[in-house]
Amino acid sequence: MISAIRRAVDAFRGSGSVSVTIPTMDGALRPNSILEDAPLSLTRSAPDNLIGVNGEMLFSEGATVCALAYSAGVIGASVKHRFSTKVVALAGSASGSVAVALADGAVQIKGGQFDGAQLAAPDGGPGRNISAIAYKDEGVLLLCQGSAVYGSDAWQRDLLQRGATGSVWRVDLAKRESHCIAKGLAYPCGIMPTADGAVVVSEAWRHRLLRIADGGKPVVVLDQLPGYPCRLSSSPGGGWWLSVFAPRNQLVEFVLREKQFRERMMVAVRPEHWIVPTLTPAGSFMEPLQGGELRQLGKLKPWAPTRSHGLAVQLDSDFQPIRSVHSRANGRRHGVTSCLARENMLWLTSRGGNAIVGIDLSTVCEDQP
Amino acid sequence: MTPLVEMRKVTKEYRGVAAVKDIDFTLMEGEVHGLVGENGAGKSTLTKLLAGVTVATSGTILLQGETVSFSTPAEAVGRGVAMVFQETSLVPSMTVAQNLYLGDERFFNQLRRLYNSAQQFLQTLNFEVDPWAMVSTLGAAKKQMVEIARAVRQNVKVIIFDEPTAALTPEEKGHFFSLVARLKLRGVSVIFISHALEEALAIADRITILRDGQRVRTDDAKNLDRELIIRAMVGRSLTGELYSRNETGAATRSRGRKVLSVQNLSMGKAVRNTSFSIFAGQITGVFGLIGSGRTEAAKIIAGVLKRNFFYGGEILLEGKPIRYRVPRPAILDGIAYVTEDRKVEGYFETMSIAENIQMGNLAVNRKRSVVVRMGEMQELASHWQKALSIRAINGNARVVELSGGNQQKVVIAKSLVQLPKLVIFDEPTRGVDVGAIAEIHHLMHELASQGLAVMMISSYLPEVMNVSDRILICRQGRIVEEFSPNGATEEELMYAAVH
Repeated sequence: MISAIRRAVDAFRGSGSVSVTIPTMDGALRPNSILEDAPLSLTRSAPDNLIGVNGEMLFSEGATVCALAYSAGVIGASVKHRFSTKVVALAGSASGSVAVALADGAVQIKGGQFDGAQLAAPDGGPGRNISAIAYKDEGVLLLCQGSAVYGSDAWQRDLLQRGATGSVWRVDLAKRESHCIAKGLAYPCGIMPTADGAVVVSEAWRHRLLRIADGGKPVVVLDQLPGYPCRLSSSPGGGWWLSVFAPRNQLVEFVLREKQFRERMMVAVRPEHWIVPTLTPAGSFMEPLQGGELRQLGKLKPWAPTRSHGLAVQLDSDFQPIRSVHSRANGRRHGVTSCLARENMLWLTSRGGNAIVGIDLSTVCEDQP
Repeated sequence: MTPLVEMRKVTKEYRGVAAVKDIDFTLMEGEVHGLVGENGAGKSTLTKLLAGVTVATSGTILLQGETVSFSTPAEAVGRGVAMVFQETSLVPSMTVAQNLYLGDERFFNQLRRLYNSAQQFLQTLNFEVDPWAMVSTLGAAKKQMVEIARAVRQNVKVIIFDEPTAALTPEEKGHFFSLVARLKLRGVSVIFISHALEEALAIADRITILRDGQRVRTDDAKNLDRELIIRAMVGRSLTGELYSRNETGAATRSRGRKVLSVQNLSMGKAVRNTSFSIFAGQITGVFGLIGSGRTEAAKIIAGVLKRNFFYGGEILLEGKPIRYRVPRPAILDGIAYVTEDRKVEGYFETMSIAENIQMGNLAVNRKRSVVVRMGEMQELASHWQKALSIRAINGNARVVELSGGNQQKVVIAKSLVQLPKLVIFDEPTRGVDVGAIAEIHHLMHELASQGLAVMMISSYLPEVMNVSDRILICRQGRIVEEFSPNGATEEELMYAAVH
């Protein structure tokens, strides 16, 4: 009763759960142009999930899995596997096997003990929209289902519907069994096992990371992110790297409060012009907000609103942000959906910017205020 | 050449204790004379003797060769000596124009003419103050401008400015310095009291340095530099302790957990959709021009002011949303705010140090006990007096009797006794002598090293750059940029604050 009254008051005042406020990008998230200015890049067509397997780097691109090669400042890529449908997520095990999730809900294993295994989408299981996968160990896969209602291409619609039908699954490859370890999540799209046997999941629509222990309730380990968190990867020196595929802004937050407006917008306006986060930077004058970037006295102001952004955040072992790399409102390397740190290099897939970018971390300032 | 003002062996004693002793001082016609010294050195007392605020115990004051003894400020003004006080002496319930012409009213006053001439006069001084504005609604800087304008209007031969630039923005300071130059050209002599030594060196012809109520040195400004003045003022070199991060060896601290997250905070026109975070274990410096909304944002956080009722934004303290209507719950939640205007909001001037500190303690008195044990109060006071080096005869000394630096330390002690996790210092070293500045900076560093989140609002660039671990720039009601003190230049910070 009290919470209902509080919600009504909040709705009236625009505060609390219905406030249109967003956390600021400061401290470890202070905007910079490291991602945008990185000289090392390879132009590809919407590269998505980047993983490291036995010293090799693999990334998904359309219906293919490609190997990324880097030597003496030269970067190249070659197709390693082809599939009949779009690849939506990748995972690599310690022994070198690769799990490939496809848009039709199937998961194929390449290499290792279960080479050639193909898991069809089980009934009631993660049938569609597998957004991330990870190996817990050689015989166990962890899967994130972003939405039980919409496919991976309709993630914006899921956001506008305020979807919270995502789930996390544990799949035993030997027994071909799967069981749900968490559900009711708002678009989980990043997953990593931790050393203590738990799982950390990024929940995009709620802008947070959750830690899910076996049989336990999800615990928030990082909250109030100023963007939509995506895939996680471990950092060589300990800690993690988190890709953030789009920024939050007040207009989108406001639209997310207005149900009738959203419904009418989804009916009357073409999807590319919806007021929602996007992966790609501005391309049309009909963009609802992208023109909001503002240049004053020759300087692009940091608060310029934008629907897309390039961002990856380094987290410490307690999941607190340490530093970040950005491609800002005036940049092109937006929509970072995964990142991978190897030795001194950080590799990122800019799905919106159609590029794979390499950043030499030893040249990036260690300490951000 | 006969000096315009000459003070010979002037002494002023309070209850047998000499505030100034055997001071010889001369002021030539058309001269700008800087008067510098630590708080409590006797600068204000010396000038108050000349301005008729107090009467000398012994010694002689000569004005144009004639012995004078003013018993009231009005008498001094009548003879051409006016003083612009650090504490404003304006009537808050009257408009700016009415204050300017206070005492010069005619039987019939044409209001339109009064306001027009007030506006013209303020414009000639380059002061952007609305003559129709009620003085009570003005900020400290604008009140100071009206105070200066009133002194200039009186057409006197000697104007004494006591810390005139403490509340002014860099741009307003520029206007003030050109005003002093114009007064000088008109043959007006100026006594300029300031803690900002660079300013004194820049505009003064001669500088007199006082220490412990005695004159240490008087010399041409061109023969002095900052280091020499500080050494003469305090008897030791403090330059390294004041504004040099490297010399003190204080490295930039790394971030701790996020203690405070301010999201899209709005309050009228003063705070406009501002967002920032404060982290534990760091000093976050907030730089901006006066009126940029820094103080208002800090006061909203501390529950002194309220944000907009509708869509006023969110403040999260350690992840928990907070919204205070009064300061007490903020204090109970661990937020301490050290005000910029200590005289009005910081302390009870007629109460003792112990009573003031106890007042701070009462705010966190969760038991709400009504009996205060004197022994405990004295013990608490002596602990903080020792911890912050508050120099007074004893804990029963009234705060009004202390120097500016010690008053500020009492205000800080009053907040720290509440054991906060977030301390907001608003202009912590304004009107404070160099010795106390170093001590206050040291204290802030200590608090941050203990893991507290420290937010420091300052208008003084060297202070912001050398004390802060990260710097936020506030402009027109919002935080617009963040800098690391490593590598940022004063020009960059000022550019961000202005443009």
